Amino acid sequence: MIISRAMRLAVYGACAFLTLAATRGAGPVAASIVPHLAVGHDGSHNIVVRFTIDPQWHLYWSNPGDSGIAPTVKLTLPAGWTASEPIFPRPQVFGTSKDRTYGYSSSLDLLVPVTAAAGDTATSIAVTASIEWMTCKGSVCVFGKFDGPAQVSTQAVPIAGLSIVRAYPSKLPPSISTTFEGMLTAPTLVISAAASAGIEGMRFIPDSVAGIEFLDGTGPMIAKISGERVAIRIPFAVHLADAVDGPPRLRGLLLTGSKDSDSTYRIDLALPDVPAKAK
Amino acid sequence: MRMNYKAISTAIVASTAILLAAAQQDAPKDGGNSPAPPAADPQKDAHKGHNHKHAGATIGHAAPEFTLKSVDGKTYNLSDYKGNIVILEWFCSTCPASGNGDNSYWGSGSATTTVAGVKAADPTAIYLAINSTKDGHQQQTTAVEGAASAAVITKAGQAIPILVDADGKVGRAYGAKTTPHVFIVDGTGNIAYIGAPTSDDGKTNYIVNAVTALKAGKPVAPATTKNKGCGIKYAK
Repeated sequence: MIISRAMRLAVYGACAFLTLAATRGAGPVAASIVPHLAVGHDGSHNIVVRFTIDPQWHLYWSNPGDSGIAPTVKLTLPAGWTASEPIFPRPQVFGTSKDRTYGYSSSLDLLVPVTAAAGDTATSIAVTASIEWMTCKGSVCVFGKFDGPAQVSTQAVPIAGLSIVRAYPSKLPPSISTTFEGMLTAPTLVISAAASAGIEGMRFIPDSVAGIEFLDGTGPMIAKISGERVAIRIPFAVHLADAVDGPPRLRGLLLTGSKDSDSTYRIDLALPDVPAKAK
Repeated sequence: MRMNYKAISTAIVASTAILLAAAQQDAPKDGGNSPAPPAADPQKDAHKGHNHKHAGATIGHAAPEFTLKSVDGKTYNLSDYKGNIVILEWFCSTCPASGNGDNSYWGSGSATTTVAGVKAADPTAIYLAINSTKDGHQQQTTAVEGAASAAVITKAGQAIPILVDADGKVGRAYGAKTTPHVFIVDGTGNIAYIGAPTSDDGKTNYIVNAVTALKAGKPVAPATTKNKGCGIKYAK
C-alpha cells in the first residue's frame, strides 16, 4: 500500500513535470499569445505576444544595440484582418559604452496592432503565430521559437489591465521640442526642454533605420544642461543609398526618469528636404 | 535651414570625378586583373565625409592591415590580397546566429549560398572567417574553439580559412561587434561594405550584391546595414 502510494506520487510528479515542460518549451524563454485583444491608449486593438524570461536571461529591443537580435512575430489572421509591425515597449539599458544593448528581463509584452475585417462580429478569432527570438545570458545565447495556433477573444480589455505593457505616445509634451540643426554641414537633431521643466535624466535611444547613421554610436545619448535649457544633441549622417522603403526617418525613444513607469515618448521624424529620388 | 541635396550631390560628384581622374593617372598598370575601380559615388563619399571619428573601419577608408594565423597554422596578411575583393566575416562556433545550430548563418546553408554566389560573381574574391573570441570563452580554449569553427565550416562543405584573433586586436581595429559581422574590402584596399551578410528574411544577400557591384565597377548599395548576432566576447 505504501509502495503503491509512492508510485502514484511519482507518476503524478512526472505528469506535472511533463505538463510544465510542454508549456514552457525547452529554453529559458517561453512565448504565448494572450487570449484576448488589448485596447491601446489610442483606441487601437492589439494582439499581445507575451514572453516570460528566466532569471539572468534577456530579450532584445527592436534595435538591440551593439549586439543581439530582436524577436520577430508573424501572425496569420482570419481573412480580412490585418496586422501591423509589433510595438516594443521601453527597454532596459544593458552593458557598457563599449558593448551597449537594449532589451528586457523577466517578461516582455509585444503589442501587435490589428484591424478587424469589415463587418466581422466574431467574438473570437483563430490566430496562428510564428515567433522567433534570440535570448542571452552573459556570454551564452540561444535561439527560441514558438509556432502554434491560438484563439483570441475579440472582447478587448483596456491595456492597463495587462501586467507590464509599457506603451508610449508619439506626441511630445509642450515642454519638449525637437529641431534639426546644421543639415548642410553636420546634421544634428536637438531635443531640448527648459531646465525648469523638471524633466530629469532625459535620454534618447536610437532605433535602427536603414540610411541613418548615428555618429555618436549606440547611445543612449544623454541630455546636458546648457544655460536655461537641457538638451540632447544627436549628430547623424544620411546615406540615401542605404535606405529602403522610401526616405529614412529619424526614430528612437525619448526616456525620462529611470523607472519603467516614467514617461517615454516615441521620436519619429521626417528629415527636412529629402531628395525626390528617395520618395 | 533647408537642405539642398541636389547641389551637394553635384558638388561631391564633381569633386570625386576630379580626384578619380587624378588617381587614375598615377595608378600602376596591372594588366587589367584588378577589379575595376568603383564609379564616383556621392553616397560613399558621404560615408567618409563627416568629421566624427569612428571606432573601427569606415566605408571608403583603408581597411586596417592585419597579420593573423589560421587554425591550420598558415599566415594571412590582408595586404597579400591587394587587387582582390576580400570578404571578412566575424565568426563564432558557439553563437546560434553564426555557427551553432541549424538556424545559424553557417548551419542553415545561408553561408554556403553566399560563398557560391561570391565565387560566381568574382572567382578571385577571397572569403576569410575571423574568430575574435577570447581564450576560455564558455570554458573553451582558443584551440578548441578553432577546431570547432573548422568543423562547422567543413560540415557546410566549405574550405574557408578561419583566422584566429584571440587577443581581439583585429576585431577591435575593425569595430567588429557581433557574429556574424561582415566587412568587405575592395581591390584598392578600402572598406566597401559593413554589416550583416543577408537581410533578416534572407532574401537579399548583401555580400553577393556588394561583390557583384564592385566587380562591375558600380557603387555598393547598401554600403552599410545593421549587423545582428551574438556580441563578440573579446579578451580584456
